[in-house]
Amino acid sequence: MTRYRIPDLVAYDVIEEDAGTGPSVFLLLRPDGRPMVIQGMAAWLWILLAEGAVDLAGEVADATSAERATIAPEIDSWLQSLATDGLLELTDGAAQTSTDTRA
Amino acid sequence: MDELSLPLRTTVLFAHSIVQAIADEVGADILHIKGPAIEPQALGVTATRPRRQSVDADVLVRPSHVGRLLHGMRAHGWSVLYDFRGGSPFEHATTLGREGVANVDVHRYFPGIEADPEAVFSTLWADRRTMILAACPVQVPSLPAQRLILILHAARQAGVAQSADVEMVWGTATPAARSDITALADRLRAHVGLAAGTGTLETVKGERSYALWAALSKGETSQVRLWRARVRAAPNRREALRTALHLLGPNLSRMTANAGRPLTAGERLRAYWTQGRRGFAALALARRNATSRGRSE
Repeated sequence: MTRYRIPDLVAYDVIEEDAGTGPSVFLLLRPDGRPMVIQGMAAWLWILLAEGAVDLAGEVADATSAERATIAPEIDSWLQSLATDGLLELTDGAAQTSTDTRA
Repeated sequence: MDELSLPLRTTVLFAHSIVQAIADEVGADILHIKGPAIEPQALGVTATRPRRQSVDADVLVRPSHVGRLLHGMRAHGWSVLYDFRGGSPFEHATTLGREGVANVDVHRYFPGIEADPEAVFSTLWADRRTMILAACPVQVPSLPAQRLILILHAARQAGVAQSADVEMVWGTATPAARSDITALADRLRAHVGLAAGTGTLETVKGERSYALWAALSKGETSQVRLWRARVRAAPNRREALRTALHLLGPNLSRMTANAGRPLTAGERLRAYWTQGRRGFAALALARRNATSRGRSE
């Protein structure tokens, strides 16, 4: 399973509730990036990642009763796009079991 | 991913985290102060009382690292909005900004702390703590230092007695917490500012900077009386002369920022002329007031 972590250079701020839309997460790649926001399911995925969840697809499947096999490719694709933008990075090796300890 | 307008609080947190990244890159020691860099423990038992929302991020930089930090910030696209001379009569901070996040006030010393700024920073740095802002670790002063800085900041504003910050960090503080703040203020030669901030200024009446803090904390509006107080508070004659001359000049940085472009030579000349006339008019008024007071006494 591909594992990601939040790089040290990513700043983020979680706004827990935003007028009934659920959490919003504002992100910024330091020092030169522009602030961005993710909302809805993406925000929940980020929060899970920040809290150290390893199997995001499994967590979402448990919470929503969705088919893991259905959602896993979409989540992987989203994680890869964040990694392309420098907002996530691959963890370096199997010894690392947690995605992030910066929550 | 969307780009939306950010909550003000988030723009301030991001500014703190960015300036920390730049400081790390250039090897500058900085301490984050005020606003979200105040830990809840520093605010005591009434921490739930609403506080004024910060609109910018404040950092205190080791004085000998000012150049490298500002160079680093400019290299990363930050522009100086107000330089040290234009920021305030204390010349203690410069304001930098960039698109998308809050401005950053870079302090090279903190008004009210009268000991040598480099030694002061070393003292504060030695007792620093780590705090997380926008998920990034930053260094902040000790809890007594956080409280002292809030009090000194409030002491510069009129109506200090109503300051929610002072009430939280001093009014409701335990005797032990007050003792820690007082001991630190003595060590940093900040006892006059502390007295001004805690309503006991009369106990330090003989101090050089007494008149300045009396004027500031009472909301003095006479530019002449503030000017005299600033000059009197200067530590030596050379500094007094420099302060005196600077305070008589116009604030060109602020005027440039307001105009949104460099000032023309004519505008600069007019600014000096206007400021000069204003200064003379204020001096004349102060003289007249003094004369009439003398006659009535």
